[in-house]
Amino acid sequence: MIALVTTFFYTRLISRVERFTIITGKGYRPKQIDLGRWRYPAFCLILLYLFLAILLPFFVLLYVSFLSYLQAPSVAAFAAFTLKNYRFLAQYGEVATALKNTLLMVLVTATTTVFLSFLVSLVVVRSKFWGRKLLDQLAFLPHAIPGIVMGIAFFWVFLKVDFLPVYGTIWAMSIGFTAGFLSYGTRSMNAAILQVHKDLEEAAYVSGARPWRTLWRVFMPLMMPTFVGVWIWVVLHAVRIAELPLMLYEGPQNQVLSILIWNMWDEGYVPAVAAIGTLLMLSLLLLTLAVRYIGFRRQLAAPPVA
Amino acid sequence: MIKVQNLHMYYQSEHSRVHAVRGIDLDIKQGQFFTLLGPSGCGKTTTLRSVAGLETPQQGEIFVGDVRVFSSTARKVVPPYERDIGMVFQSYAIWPHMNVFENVAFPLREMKRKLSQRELRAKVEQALALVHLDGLADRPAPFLSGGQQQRLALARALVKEPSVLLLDEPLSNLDAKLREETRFELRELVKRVGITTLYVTHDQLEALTMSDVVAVMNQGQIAQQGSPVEIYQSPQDRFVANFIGLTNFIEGRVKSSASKETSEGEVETASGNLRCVLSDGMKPGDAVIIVIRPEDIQVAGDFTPRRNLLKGKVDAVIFMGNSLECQVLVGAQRLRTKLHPSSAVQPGQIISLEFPPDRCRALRGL
Repeated sequence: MIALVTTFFYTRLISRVERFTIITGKGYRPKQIDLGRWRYPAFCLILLYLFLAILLPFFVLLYVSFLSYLQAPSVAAFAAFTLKNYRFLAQYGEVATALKNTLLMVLVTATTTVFLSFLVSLVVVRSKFWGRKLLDQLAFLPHAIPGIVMGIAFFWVFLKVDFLPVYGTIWAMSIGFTAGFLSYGTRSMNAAILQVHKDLEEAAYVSGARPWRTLWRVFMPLMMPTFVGVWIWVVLHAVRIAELPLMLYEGPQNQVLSILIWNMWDEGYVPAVAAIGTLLMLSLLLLTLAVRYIGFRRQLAAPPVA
Repeated sequence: MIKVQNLHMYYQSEHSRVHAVRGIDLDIKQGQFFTLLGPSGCGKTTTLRSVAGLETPQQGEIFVGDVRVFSSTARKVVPPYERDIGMVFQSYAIWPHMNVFENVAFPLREMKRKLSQRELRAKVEQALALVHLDGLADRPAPFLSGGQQQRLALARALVKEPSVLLLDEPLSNLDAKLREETRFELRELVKRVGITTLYVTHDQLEALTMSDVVAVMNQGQIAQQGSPVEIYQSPQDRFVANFIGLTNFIEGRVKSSASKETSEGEVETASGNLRCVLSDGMKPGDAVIIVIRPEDIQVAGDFTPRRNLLKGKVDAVIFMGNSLECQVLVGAQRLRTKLHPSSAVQPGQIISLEFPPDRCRALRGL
């Protein structure tokens, strides 16, 4: 209910399109703010936050993954470090299946979410379609629904819908996730499309570019950072959220990593879970860095003005 | 080169239907620098965008070169990407994800005829040299100054060598000094290229200094069209006179009709009679408004012929650097005059003002 009310005001606010246009053909330049003597305190604060929110949990996970059994840090514990958890993962058949499933599910989910949110936002922001406001609200609605409730809802739908035999498979998760992430995706896309000034496309038209060429050479490249951003966001969330897959999966051949972690934790394989967690975090970190590097290479290459 | 006939454009605002362009006719000759001048909301930009194909009017015909690009009767609309035009936007609309070279190369790459790499490079470099941006080809577009972005937009519009150049207030985002320099540079450039130019501005100084022909627009219609000198010296109605430069208006009534040779006649005003240039067909008794520019009013000296003089009291003297603006109360009316900065006038002084008859124009009053 609260979400519905805020959604309403949000759509009211962004209905005046022009005021929010930011990427125009001129003066589009990142700005640096000089913090002066606040530089060092600000830096320390950020370091502290990074430490508490990211580094500390990661190091705990890393530490546990080398243990035979859970224990507090001590010289003896460090001396007894072992790689057997990692060896165990390599042999445990369900890990490979879960890894493959996760990869497939996450890539399909992220790509579909980016594609669908782009289409929805394009209609919502740019078209004169009478139902565009309703469409926007619908896309935002899943935001108001807790993941577990959403999971139950999809569980019932897939159980009853016969023509779509996805019940219990990773595709059920993919559909569920896509619907859920559409709210985030369309928010980002709405904002990004609003930021691309119409002049930039009109300039392409009068330069002789047909609409689809304009889309390809002007609009899409300007949207690229958003596509990449939403894609990574969805990948990161789809990998780690367990609620929805827990409701929707059926049988060990449809497990994804988040469920596997859940099940193994449940069965007491704590150090092994830590090992999976460590590997997962490292690979997601690498993915994020890689995609960011590709997506933002152009912006980074730009030298500052003399 | 550009022909617009009976153009009408309506659009739907939040509350009502706006008749933005009400029957515009333009005939712009090959190589002409033609300016649409008017206040914001007068329909000048809508007219320009209709020529570009970015707006679709409801009625009228538009020709670019020999091609009919729009016709309401024939239901023909040529899309912007098939019109032989180049355009510079008020915001410049430089693509931020491309460097300078790619921005200029874009129109060439989108042409039907594919150019060889060498041809393409040569044409881009030529266009960049034309606007003095050579050497910056590899610079990412967002890292240009405002003036450079404006010139880049111009190079992009010209690189394809279109038959028509459309400019939508291209100087309004520059600072005052740069704007002044660019005015002359821009005119010189388009004249050198020899391209037919349609220019839209609300700045009368730009219109007067750059154009071959100025069309002053008001409320979706052309109020007057002519050379800058005609527009400035012989405004045909009060709107044009008021919009272009500072002007004094004196109300009066025709006393005697124009003589055959000079078209000058006598007009009676509240403060005395003045000889003025009358419009055709003005009869004694007609209500008129006399229009005279501040710089045309002289302070009468001892040797000035004693005619067309009005006495007044100096009310305020404002030093403007290159001139003195002297406000004189003539009867109940305040007239603005522009005097040489060394003129010895003091507030409170009673002076005689001379109104050269050929500079006083009588417009039909209401």
